[in-house]
Amino acid sequence: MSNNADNFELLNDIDLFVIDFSTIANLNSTDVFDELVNFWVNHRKSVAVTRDFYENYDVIIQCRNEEQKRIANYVVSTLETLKGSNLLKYFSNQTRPGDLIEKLHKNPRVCFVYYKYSEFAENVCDYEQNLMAKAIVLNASGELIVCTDKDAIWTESFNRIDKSVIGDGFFKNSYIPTTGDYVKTRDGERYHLTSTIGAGGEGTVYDCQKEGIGDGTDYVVKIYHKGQLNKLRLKKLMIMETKKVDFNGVSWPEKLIYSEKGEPVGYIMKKIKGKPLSAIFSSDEDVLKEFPYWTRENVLWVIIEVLKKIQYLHLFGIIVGDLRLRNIIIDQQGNVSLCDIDSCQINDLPCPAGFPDFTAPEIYNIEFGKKLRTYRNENFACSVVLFKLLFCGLHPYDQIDGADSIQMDINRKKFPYPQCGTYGLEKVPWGPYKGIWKHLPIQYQMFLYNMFKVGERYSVIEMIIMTQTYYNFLYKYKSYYYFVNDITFETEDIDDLD
Amino acid sequence: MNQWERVTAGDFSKSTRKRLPICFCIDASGSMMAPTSSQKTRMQELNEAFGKFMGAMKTNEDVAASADISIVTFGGEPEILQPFAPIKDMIVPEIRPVQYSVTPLGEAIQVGLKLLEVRKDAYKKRGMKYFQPWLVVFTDGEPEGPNAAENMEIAIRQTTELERNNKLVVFNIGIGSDVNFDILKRLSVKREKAISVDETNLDGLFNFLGASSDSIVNNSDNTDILYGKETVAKGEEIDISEWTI
Repeated sequence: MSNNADNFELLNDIDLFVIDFSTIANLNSTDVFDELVNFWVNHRKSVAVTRDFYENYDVIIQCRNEEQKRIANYVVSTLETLKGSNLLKYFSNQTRPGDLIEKLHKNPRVCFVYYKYSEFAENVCDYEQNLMAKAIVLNASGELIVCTDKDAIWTESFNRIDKSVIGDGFFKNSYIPTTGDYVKTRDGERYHLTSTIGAGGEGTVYDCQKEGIGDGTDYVVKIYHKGQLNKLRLKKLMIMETKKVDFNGVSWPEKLIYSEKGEPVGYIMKKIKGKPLSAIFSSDEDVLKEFPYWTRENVLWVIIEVLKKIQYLHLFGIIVGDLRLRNIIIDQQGNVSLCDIDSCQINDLPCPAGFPDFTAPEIYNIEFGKKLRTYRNENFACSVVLFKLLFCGLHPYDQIDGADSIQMDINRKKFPYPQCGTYGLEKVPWGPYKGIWKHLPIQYQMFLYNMFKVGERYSVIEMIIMTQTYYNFLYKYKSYYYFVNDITFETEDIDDLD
Repeated sequence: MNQWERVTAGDFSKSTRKRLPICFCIDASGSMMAPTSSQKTRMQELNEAFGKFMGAMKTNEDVAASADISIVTFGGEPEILQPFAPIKDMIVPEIRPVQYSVTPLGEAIQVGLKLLEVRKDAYKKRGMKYFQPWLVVFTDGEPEGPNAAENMEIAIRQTTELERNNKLVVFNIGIGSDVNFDILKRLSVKREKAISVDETNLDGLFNFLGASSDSIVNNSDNTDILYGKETVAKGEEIDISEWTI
């Protein structure tokens, strides 16, 4: 690996290295990182981290993959040692990578360090022609690539769709396993399909038992219908096998499943129980029927939990794509899980599905399977999920005398709520929604207004911080007001918000 | 104000789901009393199948939360048997044929379209979103009565125009062998031919309608599937050994 060290010498004139957390999440070992740190220490280079670096760190240490946690802890403690020699800079008010890149991209003495498929990479690519800064890009095989000019950065960071998997055609399957059959993984574990849990347009989900272990497992197997396993699906599942995604509430396709004949037929994932959010967040009555003792705090907690899972997936270059309430499951304790992730966009393989309500205006009318989604697109979907959960399933653009289709109102940004305050709600639909709006803190109202009227795209981390602040505020005042949902909030009450 | 233009808050559920308005226009003319091979009348067969269908729609959580139903019958003259209401708490009314009556098909369709229009306006006024409305027409004959032909032409003009602009989904269904399929077909420009069903196999038809509503509510506004343009796996079979990653 001395190769890397030589390459780093090309960056001798750099004053400041900005490191994005996606680099750390996708490291295969700490060796590569050590070389980089050695270079920094030997040449006394400054390293900058932002607030979202630590927000991401907080999420990654909650995952179930010990190796990932070990690497993250190692990196963060190594960076801490740089503090002693005054080499570490911390930008505490930067929560969106785009802001920092905007400030620094014209500076040739700055170097960005990030993962090829990260949101950071996407933001760097926004400055295509004006880019003067340099970059170290971690690619999919875990190597650090030094890029000293904008063309090299573009080649390493801009993602094009993998054309080899596009097009019609599906794999020949001589036999589709069903209840009672045995299936196996690549490494020879055998599973017995015991009963059907559910069937959909793509395949059937089975309960399974691992051979040799008497009781049932925490896993279920999804077997695709004949004609459903195409090149895109298979390649995606093969990449998914190699990603070490393991997080509470993410039913990740862990391993490919083969029939007894050795043909791939499906995949295995963790079992999740509960109801889809779409069944519960469909009116205020439905929410209270399922969770009679819930207050606003519980709803905010659900929003934060959903967003954290998306934030975790984003770290690995995974874009959920077909994000919608129906693909999120909630159990009786209020724990949420993402399901149906086998369709997600991973690296350069697109997600072929999408639902109009959650589709960003800039990708309206495109064929999803033929274009890669961006993090910007996904952030829009996240903001719709956030709003829908907050408003008992109401879409942000639902309104009186709205257009014929929701897409038209999305495109025109016809948001029926005011910038802040309680006036100008004439277009808000019938129901308890005016009340919900009126009880939001002014900062939160403006946050929603900026998202849906002004068209600002907040990052997932910003949405989490905003919602967390609102949550903390409610929690803080809980002891003073018994009916915490019935009070209106004054501006000066929230001192935590910038 | 006409009977069908009175809309009150009680007609709507509080659900934030996108609504799917469905208007059934059902033939209740004298010919529906014709016996079938299973010793029942056509109307009895239809009532049974319709009842089962509504039961199935109610048990499908997603559809039950979305579908709003109305029923217009036509035997002698068009009648609004069931004004629009959420399917959730609807009691399925029995449809009774009118003896020796004619078939005012065109008039009934016009009434149905008016109902859908009023319903759409009501959604808009309340800020509710909706899927494109469905008009489901059942008949076992052809337009009859005073000015039947003229009224049918008006109805055809209205449905085809709405359908072309993607503002209506039409199911034109003929039961039995006495149907004038030529005129029934003209109600839709997207459907290659009218749907023809055997009077003893109405369950199959209603299963198709149920599956269609489920796919619309859960997937999207893509109505291709409703017109039989199936979205099955495309292309050739590939041998896995011939493909390298």
